[in-house]
Amino acid sequence: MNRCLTERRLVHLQAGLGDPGEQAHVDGCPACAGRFEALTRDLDVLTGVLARGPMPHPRPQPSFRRWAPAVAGTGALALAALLWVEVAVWRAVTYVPPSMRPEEASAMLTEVSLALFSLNGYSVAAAEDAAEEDTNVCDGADWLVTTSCTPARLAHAGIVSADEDLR
Amino acid sequence: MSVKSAQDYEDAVSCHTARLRRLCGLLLGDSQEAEEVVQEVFVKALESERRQGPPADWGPWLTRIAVNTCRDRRRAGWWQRFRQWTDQIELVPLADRGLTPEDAAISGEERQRIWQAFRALPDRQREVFVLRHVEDWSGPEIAAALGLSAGTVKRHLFRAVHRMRAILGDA
Repeated sequence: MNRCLTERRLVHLQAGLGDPGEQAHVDGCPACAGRFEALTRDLDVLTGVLARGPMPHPRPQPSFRRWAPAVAGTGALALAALLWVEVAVWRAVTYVPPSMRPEEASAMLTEVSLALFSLNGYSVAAAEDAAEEDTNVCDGADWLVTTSCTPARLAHAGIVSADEDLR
Repeated sequence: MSVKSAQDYEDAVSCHTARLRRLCGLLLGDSQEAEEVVQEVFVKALESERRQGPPADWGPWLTRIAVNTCRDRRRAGWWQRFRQWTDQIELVPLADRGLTPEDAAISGEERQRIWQAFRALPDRQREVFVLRHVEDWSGPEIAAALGLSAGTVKRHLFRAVHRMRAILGDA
């Protein structure tokens, strides 16, 4: 074997997993022999620390890496809960009025305008409705016993004349 | 259990306890948990010895049980492991066990870096490195104990050595 060994081959050879040809090359090649010695020296240091030195203890301390997964998980859960409340719960309990059509809006504004400019505080339509109700009160045969059927209403309904004395 | 067998077991316990404690400490990264695992290893060994008789060689047999028990322990307590291995480590001065002058010359900072690099290795690489360079097992023995092929053992060993040497190179 003429080519110098790679680091992988040297590691295998040092661990007793190489072949005799590789060992022969290292014995005859000063460069590879030097690299082999350096590898052996490094492994002696590492083995000395791991096998014979004092063994370290993990020092329990609150570190960010310990909290990070919990914080990330809690944040994700909170976000999911917020979205769920917004989408499912909030929209279910909140009344959303149907949108008003243009003609309905126009009719409502007209009614408001009439109410604003009327003299008695009622719009024309409301006054007409009230008059219609007054007329209906005095309809029929029981108008004489109906307490709410006043002379004015009778006159308005055309049952008696305005100057007729009912007494 | 016969008297001779009981004596063998007692001898094995006294002979291998310190070594197994060190081995389990290396594989688990926690000397307190290593102590528990060693107790568990000897209980398992006793049960197995009662069923199948004493092994031909106690050392490799106990080592194999210890490696498997450490692996079970790591699988069971992944959250605990995560917490501990993300913590910083500190070197607690223990009674020196035959430190050579070369070992004593290594600074505390360098030791700490070596331990951190060792703990950062994947489980398999750590097991192969320890069995080869601390326990001095051969490649085929490691392959048989861990249930790996010879090529896989070589690959894990090279990666572990490469990463550990890189730490020394940065010093």
